[in-house]
Amino acid sequence: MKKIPIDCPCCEAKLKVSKLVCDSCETEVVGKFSLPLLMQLTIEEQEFVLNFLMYSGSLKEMANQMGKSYPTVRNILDDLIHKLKSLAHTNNAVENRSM
Amino acid sequence: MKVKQIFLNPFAEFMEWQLFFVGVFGFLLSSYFIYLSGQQFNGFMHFYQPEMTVSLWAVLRVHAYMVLAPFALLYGIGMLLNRKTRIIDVMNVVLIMPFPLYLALFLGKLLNQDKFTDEVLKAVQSGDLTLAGVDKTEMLLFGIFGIISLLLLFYQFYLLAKGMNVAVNNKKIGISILFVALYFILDLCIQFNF
Repeated sequence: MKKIPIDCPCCEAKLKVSKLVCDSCETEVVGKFSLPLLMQLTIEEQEFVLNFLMYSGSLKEMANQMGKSYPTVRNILDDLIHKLKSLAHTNNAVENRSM
Repeated sequence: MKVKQIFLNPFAEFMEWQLFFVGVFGFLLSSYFIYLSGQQFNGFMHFYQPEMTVSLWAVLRVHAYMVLAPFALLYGIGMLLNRKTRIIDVMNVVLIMPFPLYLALFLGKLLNQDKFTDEVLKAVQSGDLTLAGVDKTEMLLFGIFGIISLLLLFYQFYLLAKGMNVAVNNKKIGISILFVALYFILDLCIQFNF
C-alpha cells in the first residue's frame, strides 16, 4: 500500500485533501479537506494506536507482543497523547485563523 | 533481541519481573562475596575492612540501606517529574545499576587487589616513592584494571541515567545529569553514617 504523504515535500507544511474520487462511478469531489487527526501521525504511530485498540488498551500485552518493557510502551503512549493534543491545538488554531 | 541493545538499555527491553529477579540475585550474590572477603559497605560504591568480623546478616542489612536510600531519593524525584512513575521501575534501576560495580569487585578479587594495594603501601612507607620494588607486570595489570574499573563506573552512571529516563519518560539531558549528581551527593552524605 502506498504511504499517504502528510507533510508538503517543498515547505514541510501540513498537506490537505483536495480531491476525492468514487471508485465505482468516478465521481470527483473537489474541495479543501483537513486530514483526520490520526492520519496526521506517522505510519508507526498509527500502527501503535491500532495495536492499542486491538489489545483492548492493555499496555502489558502490547509490551509482551512488542518485546519491550512496560514503561517503554507507556512512554510511547504518553508521547503520542502529547503529540495528538498538540496537533489538535494546531489544527484548531489554523481553523480559527481561516474563519 | 539484540545483545547490543541489552547493554545499551536493558530497562527498555526486559519485563519488570525479569529485571527484578536478576537485580535481587545480584544483590544477594554481591552481599555474599563481600561477606566472604570480610568487608562491609560504607557507601554505594565502596567498602572497608572492619576490625571485627561482620556477619552475613549485617552485610545484607547495610547493603539493603544502600539500595533503599537511593531508591527513596530517585523515586521521590521521579514522582515530582512524572506522576506515573512506578515503584518497581525505580527499584529495578537501583538493583541493576550496580552490576558493573559487582563486576569490578569480582575482577579486583580475582587479581588479588588487596595484596597489590598492601605491596604499594609498604613500598611507599619504606620510602620507595618510585615503586621500584613493585613488580612492573603487576603494576601494568593493575593499571589496566584501574582503567576498566573507571569505565565500569561510568557505565554504572550511564545505566542509572538510562533506567531513570525510561522510568520517568525523561528526554532532557539536564535531568539525566541531575539523577547522577543526586546519586553521587547521596553517596557522599551516606558515608558519614556507615
